[in-house]
Amino acid sequence: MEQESVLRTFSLTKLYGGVPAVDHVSMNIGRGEIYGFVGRNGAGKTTLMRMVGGLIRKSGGGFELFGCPDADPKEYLVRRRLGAIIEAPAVYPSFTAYQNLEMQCLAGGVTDTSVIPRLLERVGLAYTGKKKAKDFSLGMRQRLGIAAALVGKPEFLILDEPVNGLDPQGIVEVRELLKSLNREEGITVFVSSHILGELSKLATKFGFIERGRLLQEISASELEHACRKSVTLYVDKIAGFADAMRALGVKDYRVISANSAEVFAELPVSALAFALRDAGIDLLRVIENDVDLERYFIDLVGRSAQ
Amino acid sequence: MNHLLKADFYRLFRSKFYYILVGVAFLLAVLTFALYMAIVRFASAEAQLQIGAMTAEDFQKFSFDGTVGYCAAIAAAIFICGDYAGGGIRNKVLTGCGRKDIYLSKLVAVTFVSVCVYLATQLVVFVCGSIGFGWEGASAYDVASRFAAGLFLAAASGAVFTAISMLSEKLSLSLIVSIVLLFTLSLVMSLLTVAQVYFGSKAFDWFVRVFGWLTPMGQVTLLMGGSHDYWIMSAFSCAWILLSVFVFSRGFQRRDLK
Repeated sequence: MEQESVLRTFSLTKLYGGVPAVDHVSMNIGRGEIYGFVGRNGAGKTTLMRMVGGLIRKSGGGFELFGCPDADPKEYLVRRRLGAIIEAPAVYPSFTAYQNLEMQCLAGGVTDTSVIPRLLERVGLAYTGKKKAKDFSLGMRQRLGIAAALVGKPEFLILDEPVNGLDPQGIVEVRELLKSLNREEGITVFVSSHILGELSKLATKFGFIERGRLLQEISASELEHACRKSVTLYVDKIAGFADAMRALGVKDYRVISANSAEVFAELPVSALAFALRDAGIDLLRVIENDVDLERYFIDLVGRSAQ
Repeated sequence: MNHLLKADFYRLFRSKFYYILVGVAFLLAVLTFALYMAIVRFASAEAQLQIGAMTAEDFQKFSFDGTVGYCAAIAAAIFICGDYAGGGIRNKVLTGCGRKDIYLSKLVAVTFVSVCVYLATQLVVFVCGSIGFGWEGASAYDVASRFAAGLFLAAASGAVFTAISMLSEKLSLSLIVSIVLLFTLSLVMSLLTVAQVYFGSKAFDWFVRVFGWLTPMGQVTLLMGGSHDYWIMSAFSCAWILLSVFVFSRGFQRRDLK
């Protein structure tokens, strides 16, 4: 059965002065996913989020939010199921954290204000009391923005660089918060970040965007498979290599050339050397490959540029 | 829409500028009253005989000095552009509050401030004017109609400056555009009034009157000058409100938000 889509875009395009900021992007975010949106500054991440959020108008293509097409005149009503921080959190500087959330409750028609203390507790701002938001650090504002986005019990969270300005502990806390919201309350999360290491610990699906074009959509398991550890072996000849691998019980390997092969297994180098020697092959050089999300992204961008 | 109104009034009643503007308008009206009292007290008996005694009705006419327009411009700029700067308007759009409802809610809040400023000045007119000058010879209909025209004028000022702030986004830009507009219209109206004296043609008189009816600052000059076209002016004020609701709001609905 096909997974229900929360957001689907079809050739979504935004032009600024004829130059595409988002260029025919077709993406799909399924219910329950944490979709990590990866791209450099100016790649089009925020522009796409702003189009979906109704802040800016598209130049072409379209999208469906909770199955409702953007051309529907009442499309804005489905955004009531959204919580979002795009670019900067909405914070009234002369209000306290509590007042900011109270204001959010009023605007969103949330009558039960008992959610406010719970949300402040959840984002670690319960202690702020009468301190006004203008005296908050950037990280505290960011947390307040996340709390505000959660006021209306959203089904879908759009977060643009939510860990910006957070200290390392804050980054971990936000990550855990988003994971728990996804796990416990089934909230779908669409998150962009340039801290790729952080995103790799959070997302269940990734979308890579460069110069407005979506290069690839890949699930976390596919990415993990693509980024798995490997060693590249340089040998004097490749004949008999398969026998050596069979002897080691390694099935996952690929021959690169007449003198090299890549082995996807965590084995002691000595074991590899002995097995190869038994097959009559001399091991000349070993290189460990450790591809992470960052490396994967750079390689992908590099390939797309060629 | 109700939710947005609640949120906007929640913010308005916690904003210092609202109390400051109403307070300043009230104090200016009291100061004006004190100055008129002083002028009347120290004026020569000869002059008083020539011009006639000052009444509360005269004081009511002089209260249309443009304060409400400037206060509405400042209120709209601070209230609306402050919401833009804090990300409040962006957040409301993101969470499914319709753009038209957002616009209308802001219009109601700014108009409320504008009307409060007007009522503060009229409080001084009716309380201090009654005590200090009296309503001798004043027609109740004229006084009530003038008050109503002022009320519509205050609402129209709120609607016009809401449109300017909603479309300009930035506080400084909104303030500059609004104040320049107020200055320009006052200047044009003053020049037309002077020219009217020198030209003396019937057609030009009509041109000045129509220009006065059309613009809120023109109406201020006409009301101050003792014009009796209260209901025509009120109708034009309503037209400005409708224009803001149905035409200028479309500009906000179509614009890209930063």
